[in-house]
Amino acid sequence: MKSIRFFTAFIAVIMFSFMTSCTKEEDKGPEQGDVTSFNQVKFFQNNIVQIDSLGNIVQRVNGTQLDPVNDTELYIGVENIEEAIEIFKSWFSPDTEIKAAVPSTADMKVELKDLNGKTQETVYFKAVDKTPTLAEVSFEKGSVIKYVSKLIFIKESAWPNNAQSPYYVGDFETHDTYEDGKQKWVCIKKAEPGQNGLMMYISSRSVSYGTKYITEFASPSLAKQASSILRKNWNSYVTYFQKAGRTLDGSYYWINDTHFPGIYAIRLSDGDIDWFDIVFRDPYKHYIQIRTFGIVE
Amino acid sequence: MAFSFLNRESFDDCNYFALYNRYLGILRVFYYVTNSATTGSEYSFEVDLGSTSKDNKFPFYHSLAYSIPLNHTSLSNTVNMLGKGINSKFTFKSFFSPYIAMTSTALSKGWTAFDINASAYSPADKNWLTSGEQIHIACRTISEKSITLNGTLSANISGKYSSAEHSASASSGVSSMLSTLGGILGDVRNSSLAAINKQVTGSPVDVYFYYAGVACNVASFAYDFLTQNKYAENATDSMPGKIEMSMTGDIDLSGYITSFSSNLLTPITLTGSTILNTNKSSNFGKGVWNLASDPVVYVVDDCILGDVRRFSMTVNGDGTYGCTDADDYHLRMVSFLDPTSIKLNINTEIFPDVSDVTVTCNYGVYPDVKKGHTSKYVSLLSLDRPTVKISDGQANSVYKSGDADNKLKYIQASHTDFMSKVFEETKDNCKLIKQKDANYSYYGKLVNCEGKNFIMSPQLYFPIKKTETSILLCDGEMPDFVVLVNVSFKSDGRTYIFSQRFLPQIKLIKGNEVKTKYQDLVAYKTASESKSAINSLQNKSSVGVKHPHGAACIQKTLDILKKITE
Repeated sequence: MKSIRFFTAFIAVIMFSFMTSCTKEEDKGPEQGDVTSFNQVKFFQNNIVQIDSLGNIVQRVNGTQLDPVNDTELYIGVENIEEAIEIFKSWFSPDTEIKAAVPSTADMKVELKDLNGKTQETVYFKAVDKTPTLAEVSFEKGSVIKYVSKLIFIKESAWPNNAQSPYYVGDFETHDTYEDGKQKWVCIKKAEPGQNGLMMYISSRSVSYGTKYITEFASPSLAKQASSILRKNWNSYVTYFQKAGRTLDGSYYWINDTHFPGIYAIRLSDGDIDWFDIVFRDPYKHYIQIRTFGIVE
Repeated sequence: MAFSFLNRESFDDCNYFALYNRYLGILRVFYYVTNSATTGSEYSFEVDLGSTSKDNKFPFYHSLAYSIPLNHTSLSNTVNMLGKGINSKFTFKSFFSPYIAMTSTALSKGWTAFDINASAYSPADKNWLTSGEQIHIACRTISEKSITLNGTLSANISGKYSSAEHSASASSGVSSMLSTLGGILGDVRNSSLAAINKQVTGSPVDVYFYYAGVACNVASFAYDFLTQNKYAENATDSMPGKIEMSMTGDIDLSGYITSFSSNLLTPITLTGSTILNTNKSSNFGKGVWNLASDPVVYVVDDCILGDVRRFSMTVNGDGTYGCTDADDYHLRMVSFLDPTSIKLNINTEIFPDVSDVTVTCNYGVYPDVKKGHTSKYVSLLSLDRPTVKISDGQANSVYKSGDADNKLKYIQASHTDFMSKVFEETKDNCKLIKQKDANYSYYGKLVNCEGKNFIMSPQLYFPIKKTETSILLCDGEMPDFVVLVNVSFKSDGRTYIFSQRFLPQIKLIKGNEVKTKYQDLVAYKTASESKSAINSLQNKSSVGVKHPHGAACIQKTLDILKKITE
């Protein structure tokens, strides 16, 4: 609740200060703009463990705790090193530069920067030839990325149980939504060992952002991930959401991040994230919520 | 002696004579080349089995890429079965690799020889000798320039060739080469000679066979597993000698022959009267054995197997289904060979005391050969290749695996649950293998037989089409199933073994038919284990046919059928 109040106050301050200084129509500026740079730390963080503005855990996104006494070492099951590399690369925002740490090896080094371009943390991917471990992800500082100290890719066949995903692509689940009560969410990705599945909700009606809270909307990280998944079989997902009574199309959907004077929205059909001016304008859009789930016995 | 044109003044340079081995069904034709003024760098013998009568080609059906059972009595003979680039208006035209003793790759002066496989049993009422049917034999040369390769070559090949007692020309491999390039031409050789030699001599094969086609190798392999009596066919080729090669990389030699020329050698035409004028009691044309009808492979039409507890797909209404995780679901059809459909004829005129007849049969696929490689035969023989429809639902609906009204009942069963013990299948040596140029795959064990991969009793997957914006599961498509049949019998104190490959009739079954078939196969297994006859010779009902290895071969099928009929 604290986070909601905090953000509401933040938006109110923004709106007040600009509405008093800009009164003419021509001073409003563009309605929307490209988002070309991201808070790379936040983007990465929310792809591993999603946190709120106060740093509290919202939900785990990737990685599973296998060691009962160490809850920051997270494991991910993969078939081979190539899959590990593909997953690792998917955790970073589009503007993040992924470098080879050691030439002609799979090892990688990624510097995570804030919006000012200042490096906040360095992430290392190292291939490990020690069955069943295929690769490890570690951090230089270790304190910037929260709730995770190491990510370990292991062979899926070595996963310690035979648990399966509780939901499969196309499954519906009735669950609480931000403001629509209990509604049908659609499974867009099944859970796998160490890789959480995704349930997505598209709001029943388009809403004006200006007076709404945003923390429960999908993070850019998850929204990007969702877009990537949806695009692989777009028409099928259109049908699934249709069956759930929702419309999945090429429009922009509200997600959870800001870029003054606007709020982020994602076009799921191509993954483009733009900001939309909510200070001087009042656009209406559907919002999306995404939550994760793991495998179960 | 089958025939001779030697010393006939009217046939200048027509120096042919031939011997027929009635026990093997092999016509060995010898020719003395007097004029070497030919074009092209390699040569082979083209045997055109004629076109006047549709019913009298039975003796030669084993010489084709896929043998043709006796139920096909009236086949169209205008189908060009030889592939693109070959100018043929006849159905049955094959190319035979010559035996040659010269090192030159071009046709040279001296003796050359080749074999025509005439071992397919011919019923008395289809007697070739009295039919007036003709066989045309011509020597054909080919130039390297006239071959067009569509494929790619990326490989490192190193090795050595050492000749046997008689040095061999590289051109003796021309039939193999044509086979590869034409996609269908060259698999005309069979295994009878090799197999019989082994059995008769009682020792492992230690010579290099002229007839060591794929059918032989694959079928023999199956037999080896069952008998635990390993062949030593480690260097078979179509020439006397041995090639030791190490190869790395991928070779794709798909392509076609753009021109094909004759030469100055005199072609000959054989008729029954030609043979009978040489030997009035000739057995040529009567053959040795054949199947009475097409083997049957069943595909269950109301069942879909998968690895996950449940799943859903969107129905597009055009035989495709939106299925994002199709790869992970391992959605498969159930197919199996009905071994009781193997019905045998053996020439009891040649083998009047035939006894101890056994059959070993299996089916499988060549995953590395382009999809559709059997289609011309399938078309010729009018074999059914049905489609397994997943849903009859309307477009934009959703197929949920648990729904009671699904056309196909979904059954969770991991693809790794079903392994053939007799073929030593394990999770380590089985894998998912895609069919070349197709959207479907198999789960099974790759067997490398003389360079061609084969999968015995594969688990067949529903096709998956992928584009940038869609992952679609498709209605079940029938692959190029091939049935391998090994036959052994005793006569006059000797044991004979033959092997050929056939194309199956594919039939869809569902519901109670599946349960009935399962019970039939359980009974078959019992009969096999107790060494009882499964059926009898079709042309001599007093002789029983046993399937001593049937119980072992059918185990995997029974495991699957038990699962789906529970």
